[in-house]
Amino acid sequence: MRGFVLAALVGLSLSQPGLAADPSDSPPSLDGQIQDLKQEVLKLNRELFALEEELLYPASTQVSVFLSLDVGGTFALDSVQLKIDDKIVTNYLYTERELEAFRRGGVQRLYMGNLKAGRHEVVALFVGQGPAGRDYRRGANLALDKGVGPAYLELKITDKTSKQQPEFVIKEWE
Amino acid sequence: MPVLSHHPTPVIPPVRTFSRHALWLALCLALSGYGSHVGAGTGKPSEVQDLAYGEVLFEFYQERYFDAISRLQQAQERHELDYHAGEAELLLGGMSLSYGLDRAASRLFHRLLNDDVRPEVRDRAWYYLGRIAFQKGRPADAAAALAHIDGLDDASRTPRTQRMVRAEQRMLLGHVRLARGDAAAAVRAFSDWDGAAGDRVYADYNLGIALLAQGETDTAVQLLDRLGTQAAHGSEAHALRDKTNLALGYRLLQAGQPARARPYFDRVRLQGPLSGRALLGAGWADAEQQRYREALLPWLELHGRDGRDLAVQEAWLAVPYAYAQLGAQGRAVELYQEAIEAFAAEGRSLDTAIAALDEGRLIDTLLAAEGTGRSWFWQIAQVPAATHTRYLVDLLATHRFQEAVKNLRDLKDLGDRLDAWAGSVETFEHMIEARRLRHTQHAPRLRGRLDDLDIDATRTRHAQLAEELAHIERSNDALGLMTAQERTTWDRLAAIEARLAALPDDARAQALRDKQARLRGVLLWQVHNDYKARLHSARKELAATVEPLATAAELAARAQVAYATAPAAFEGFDGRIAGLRERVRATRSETDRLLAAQAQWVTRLAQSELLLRKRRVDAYLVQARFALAQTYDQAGAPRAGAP
Repeated sequence: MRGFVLAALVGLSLSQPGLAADPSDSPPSLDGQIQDLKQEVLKLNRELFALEEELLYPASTQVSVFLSLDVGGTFALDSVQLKIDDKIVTNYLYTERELEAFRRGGVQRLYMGNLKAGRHEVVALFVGQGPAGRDYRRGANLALDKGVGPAYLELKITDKTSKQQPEFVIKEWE
Repeated sequence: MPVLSHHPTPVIPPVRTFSRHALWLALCLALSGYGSHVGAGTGKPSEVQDLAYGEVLFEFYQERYFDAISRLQQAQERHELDYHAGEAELLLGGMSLSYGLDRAASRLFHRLLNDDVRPEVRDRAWYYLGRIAFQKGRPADAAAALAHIDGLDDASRTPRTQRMVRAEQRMLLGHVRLARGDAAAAVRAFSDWDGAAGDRVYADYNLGIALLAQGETDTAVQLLDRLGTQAAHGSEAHALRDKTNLALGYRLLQAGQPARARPYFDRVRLQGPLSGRALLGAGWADAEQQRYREALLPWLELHGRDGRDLAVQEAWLAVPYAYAQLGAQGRAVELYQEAIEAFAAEGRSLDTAIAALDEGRLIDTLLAAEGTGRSWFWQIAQVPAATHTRYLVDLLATHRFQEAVKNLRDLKDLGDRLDAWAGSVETFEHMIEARRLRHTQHAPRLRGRLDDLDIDATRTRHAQLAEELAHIERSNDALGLMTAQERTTWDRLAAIEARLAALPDDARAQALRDKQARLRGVLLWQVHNDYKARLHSARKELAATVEPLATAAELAARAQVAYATAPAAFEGFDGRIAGLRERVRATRSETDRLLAAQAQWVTRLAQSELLLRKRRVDAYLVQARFALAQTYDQAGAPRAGAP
């Protein structure tokens, strides 16, 4: 009895699943079909995004605002409010997962919209915790001269190491 | 009673999975701190040079592979990756693997190898190809792929900037060699491993396992013993320490050294996931030394735990066995009877769970959990135990089931996306229709206004005026700058002069002619006197019309363009939208079909796992009955139900 029982147990306790290659994750034909489907939906997704962009955000009026964050201990971001020409266009509250993605080099497309050619005022308000955990609210603004092509703006939060303070800027990409 | 030496030699597996999540971690490692786009060894990503690449990373680091892959492919199509093109290809390959697209990943890495790429990119492509082959159960192909990585088997040739990537590659090399039965070569790979300090324990553990496989038992035990006693920080480190001690304990128990095995079982945490197996092993280590009273201590602790745990089920048999050995046959009989009831109940519970699988309730639970990456997994683990979820956590512990569930959830996600797109496509159609209608309503009026607007005629008139002014200036023609009123007066004086000329030359007529001449003189004087001021004013006024005229011309041109291009906002989309709508519909239907097939596959996997458990329980039940009969015989007591 003991032999049988223990053999089963020993086999179980030491062959933790997933540690070695497993050639039979799912039937090959089904797995292949699922892969084909994923590829097709990816392709479809790209085409639909392109269509959406053409319809809703034509290049002549398109404006995109991105957010990147490269701060150490000087600032913990909670939320961002974006205003264009004194109108709030987006408010965004961040999750820990998103902040981690920022810390690793991720860039978020915070807003996409349309603006006529001409001069516009872009204002971003950043809310979070600054040095020593104090509540922190800072703004950054940019006078945008929108031409006939798409405009790309990047809101950047970086460490101003000399002053141990975060720095908030808006950069326009060519 | 059979002894432990009769057991087949258990295979002690190495650690470090090659699951999708482990791949994500490896990719993170390659990207953050040690990849090609970062400052070597700084551990901090350098500034992303292409916004599109940053967007991809933002999705990738949240384990949203579909969005990350989609954005990256879009960025490649639009040539938005000027600076990160090379690493983007590697990232795409790695993400494709993480998303279960190993065929696409394989094609991509092979394509990369045909390109003129840097040696480290080639090495990484070979690494991923090796990894795909290993995951697919082709260790020989994996070894062949890894053999292309220059200097992988020679730690002294590791470039400083490639240290971490090379460590990951060497880890895979060790696993591949172990899988191929080349323990000595695996020992070399794990010995040469030189990666992050936090991962050292994994390499050492694998080295220990490889040494055991090589037959270097003493060296292996020495190494694993050290790992099993060192301080652990974090749940993963604790789990590895428990696993090490458990593996050592059973290895020594198998080798007929129960006294030496016992302390290793004691080192395993009582609250950890391996505690059941450790308590069981501790009991057997005592029992092997005929210390049945001591064996009862861990076994009784185990006896009252959740009956789903196989170690607990074993304890249901082991405890009465120990009592019987101690001569307490009566207690043993009671406990064997309890065990028979417990096994029967467990068998019924498994039957119910297997039947519930057919109703699809397990699939519903698996699909209901929200979240990407690993978050859904922990949600499912927290699902309250019900008939259909009682064995869910145990099922999810198996790699095959986990991967099958991931594909199932991926399919559900694709379906949700397609549903959302179907709604969007409908909105697009309405939008196009509204634009077309608005154009039809407003276009004729706009056309009329545009036609009325003759900017060219205005420009010509402006040019004529400029020329007239120039002529006036050249010829000092002050009369040319008369006001309208002056011009009228001038014309009237001219008419009067003509009429006076027809009068007889008498005094009255002469007086009138003098008066007309005076008035004419006054007017001429006034016009000549103001000439310079008038010329300046005329020049200024004409100049002031230049800009408004240009603006008007620009606006008119824009209006013309807007009129001409307005149809572009709705024309040409109909066919495209109809095509996409049809593809969304067809793909949605295919998703449903595959979702059903995958659900069936997941159900089958669950069923086979539960049936395996059921067979074990049935076998335990037979053993319990047999042991009960034996105990009755030993005690010489009449059996229950016997006449």
